[in-house]
Amino acid sequence: MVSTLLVSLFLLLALIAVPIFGSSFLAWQLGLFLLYGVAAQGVGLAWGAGGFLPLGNALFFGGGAYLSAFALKATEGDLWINLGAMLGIAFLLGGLAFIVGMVLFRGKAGSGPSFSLVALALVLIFSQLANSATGLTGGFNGFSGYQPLGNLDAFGNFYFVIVVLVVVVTLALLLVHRLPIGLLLRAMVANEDRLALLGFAPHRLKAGVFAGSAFITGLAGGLYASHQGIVTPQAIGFLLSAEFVIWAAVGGRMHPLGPLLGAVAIGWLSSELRDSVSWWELAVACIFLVVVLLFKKGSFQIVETAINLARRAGLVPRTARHAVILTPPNSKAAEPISTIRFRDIHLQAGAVRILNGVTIELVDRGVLAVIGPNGAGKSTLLNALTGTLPVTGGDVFSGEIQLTNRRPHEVLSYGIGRKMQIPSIFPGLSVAENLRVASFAGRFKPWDFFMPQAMRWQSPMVRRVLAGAGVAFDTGTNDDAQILSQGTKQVLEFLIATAAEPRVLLLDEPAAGMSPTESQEMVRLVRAYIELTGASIVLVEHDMKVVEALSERVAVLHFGEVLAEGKFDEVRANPKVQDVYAGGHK
Amino acid sequence: MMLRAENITGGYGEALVHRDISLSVDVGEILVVAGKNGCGKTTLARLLAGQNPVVSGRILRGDTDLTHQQNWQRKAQGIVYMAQTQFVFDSLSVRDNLSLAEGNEAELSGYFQLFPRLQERQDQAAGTMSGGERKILGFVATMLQSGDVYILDEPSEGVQAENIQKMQSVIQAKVDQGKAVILMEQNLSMIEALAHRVLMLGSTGLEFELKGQGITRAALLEGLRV
Repeated sequence: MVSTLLVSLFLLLALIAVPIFGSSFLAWQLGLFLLYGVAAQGVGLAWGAGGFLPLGNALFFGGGAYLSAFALKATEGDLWINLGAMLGIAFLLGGLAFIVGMVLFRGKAGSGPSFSLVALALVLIFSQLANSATGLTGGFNGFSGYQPLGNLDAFGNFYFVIVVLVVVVTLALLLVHRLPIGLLLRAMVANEDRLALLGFAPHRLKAGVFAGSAFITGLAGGLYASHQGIVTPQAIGFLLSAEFVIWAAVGGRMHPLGPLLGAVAIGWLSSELRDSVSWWELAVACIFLVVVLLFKKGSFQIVETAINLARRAGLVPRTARHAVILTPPNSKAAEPISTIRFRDIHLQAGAVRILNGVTIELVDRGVLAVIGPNGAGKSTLLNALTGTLPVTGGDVFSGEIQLTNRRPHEVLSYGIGRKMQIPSIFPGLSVAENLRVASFAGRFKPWDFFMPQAMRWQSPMVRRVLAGAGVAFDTGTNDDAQILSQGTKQVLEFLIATAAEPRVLLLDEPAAGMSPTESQEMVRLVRAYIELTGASIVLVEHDMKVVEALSERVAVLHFGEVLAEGKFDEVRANPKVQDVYAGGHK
Repeated sequence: MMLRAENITGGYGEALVHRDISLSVDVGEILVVAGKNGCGKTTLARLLAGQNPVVSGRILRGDTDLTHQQNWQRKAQGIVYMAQTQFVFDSLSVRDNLSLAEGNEAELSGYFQLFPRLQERQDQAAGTMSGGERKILGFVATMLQSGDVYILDEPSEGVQAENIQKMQSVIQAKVDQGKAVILMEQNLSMIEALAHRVLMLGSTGLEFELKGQGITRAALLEGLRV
């Protein structure tokens, strides 16, 4: 936190010094680049932290500029009324972005390039409107004839308003990186499906990020109207949208200061070269190419590398963070629920009928093992409960609560947690960060997104396991989870899935990729979990030693139907079962 | 000697997993690499297949030096590799996955008899099959490819016992034809049934080697002790 404040303070002092030691024209020029920089920070927020590329953010810049110009004309002169109007406009734009984001991100198609293309289409529509609606916007000639914000001189004190915006936005973005919301966003970019199973709706998070991006860009646009004294369709066009993206890319989209640096540096260079070099655009394009090819994270990567080197050399002190672990509030997922019953579940995907009328009841406390040949529908049965695949017939109940076709992010609040067949973790985050995100699950209240102390939460379940012997994170929890071996990833995902202490835990082949000895470790983990929580567990597994050790009851699935059900020995002795599935062990 | 690695060192970028590891596999031999979780079986397979670059040491296929060859160049030299994860093209149909392997018809119909589900599901996208079925598809698509050395990274994971035995028969048939197999495995039953030689990987590299009659469950468990 201290370093965040120091960086912001330094930025503030450096920017305040400009008009004192330089000319007022210099400050005016820098002010424009800074406004562009803030808009690019908005793009950086969406692209870097949200993982989606907003190709149409001039919509919010130009929208903010036009609306602010209208407001300035209507509410001439009074600084506070002007500021209030501008803030209102930015909130309006943020709200609109949230709605657009919810619509686009809710459907699967919205996450990738199609989002960027829709944003592009929107900016084209609005730039056409700005050009054509001459009565409202002044069309090609632009909209002018309004007083600047609080009647401040664009070549004088108005510069300091811009400085305040830059510092406040930068400080806010730096804080977001440090708060739970920042970690959740990184987890979302790393693995949306996993985050959804922890009870966080990725589409809502992304729509929120898009709203933040629009809010910031809209504020910059609002001040731009006062800075320029005229708003033309150029402020809402595609070209400016693309430039925001270029500045964010060149400067570095992963750090809040990157886009600011990119916009100011390129703006500066362009204005210097424009007068002296005839093909100056070519020079700028070359710089763009070199930076993007050499530094994937933008030129801010150079700064970060330097800081890391200095840290390694001991020049910058390391701060030990999150030293004190806090016990988090109780998890919603841990509340008792009635036994879950599947009734006549059918599930068809395309022409393939995967489940053909499965009726089954979970064990109240302990393990129901689901075994059967490959392709019998075992994982699909779990998918029916976590909303990963919609069932086409039948229903799932917990007491009176209907659980059929819930969406993946809803099921944890009903006490259902899941471990996937192929271990699903957050790659690119350290093991500790993986566990931290998991410790948020089921325990988060809306305000906790912004509460620094939530970063120190550790689920009692996680603490117990980490304190126990024999857990495979021998080299510590600071490694990137991506480089763990398959078997260690299984243990990590087990911890991620159980951190919220769900009363119903679905385990899909938790011992796959483990040696017989390690499989027994997994058996111990599962037993300890049942003892701690009294959970009801569904276990899909091929290793009969694991099934025998854990199961209260066994169900055999074959061609999407329950072939047999009963105690382990009964099922193994059943001739119908022996015909289709002998079972084995490692 | 079909494939030989001499003192290879490598891992992921700066994070070295293996230092100075040597191994070789002969014509008609099944070499199993075993070891507890996280000891680097997958990394070793990736180094041999050219998925990760080796930092030092040499990898030889007969007289040909493969050390600096890319994965696709090693495939042309007869090194066939099945990864532990991501071994099929999820968005392609079962049929297309098998076509890409460019195997011969007779061999394919033999595999269809062993694993009838693959034949039934030819039009289905591989990614929509169950985990175990995908593993079988990946295995068949690997074994269909022409080559001399087959590097298989845990083909048994998530596969039911009956199908593991069928996989064993396929692997056995390959080495009977004079091919070589390097198998990374955790499944002791499969190792006992197949292995001619077992290299036990530990935290300090190759710890010991088991041969022929010495390959017993007890001896393997000794090496896997945590």
